[in-house]
Amino acid sequence: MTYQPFPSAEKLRTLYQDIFDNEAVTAVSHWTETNSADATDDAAYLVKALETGEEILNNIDRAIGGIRG
Amino acid sequence: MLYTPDAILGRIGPEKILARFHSLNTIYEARFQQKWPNTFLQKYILRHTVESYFCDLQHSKDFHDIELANRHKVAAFTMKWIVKMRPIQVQENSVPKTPAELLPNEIFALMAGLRFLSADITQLSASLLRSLLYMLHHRPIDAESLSATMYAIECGLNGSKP
Repeated sequence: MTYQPFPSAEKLRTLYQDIFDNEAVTAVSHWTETNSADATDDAAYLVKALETGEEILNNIDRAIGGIRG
Repeated sequence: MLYTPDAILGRIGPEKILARFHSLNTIYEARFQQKWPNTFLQKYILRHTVESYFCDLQHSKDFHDIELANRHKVAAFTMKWIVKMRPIQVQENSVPKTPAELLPNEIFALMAGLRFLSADITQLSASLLRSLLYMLHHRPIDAESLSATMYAIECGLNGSKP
């Protein structure tokens, strides 16, 4: 294997831009617990989604991302 | 000071995160993939692995007032998050021929962790390798305890007193 110098920060940024711009990963990596009122709200959405089988992924995304509808 | 992922990753800075991502990606491409061609590295999960590693290690550093983590901690926290997030996936149609083929993340974690000690997986005895893979696969991982194991391994490889 030939030696390759470590790329500059600028080159790394370009190389992996799509991965580090991905908002789904950002939402999961930056996921924090919500306060009790929000958590109850999110939990209610999840339970409803699971019961009805509708919009499960949207509701899970909402709970992770803290998106307020 | 805030201890949320946002704040911690902001303190770490994108350069360090990108550099670590690149290092692990390079270890996979240069050392792992040739021997394990039935796998692929899921780069989005690798990013999550790296960011989780920095958040977790920073919590430990802040709590214990550590300015710079030593290489054993870096190795152990890296290993913990690789086996937890599992960024290496086995290809859909791959049929395993050996049990080890079902443990790509444990093997990659060990390879990556040992790189931080300037060591290589081939330097380990078969019995230690088996024991470490078992631990990484089956047991809950406490990175701070694992760092002591990595320290002892380094001593063993250097022939120094642990």
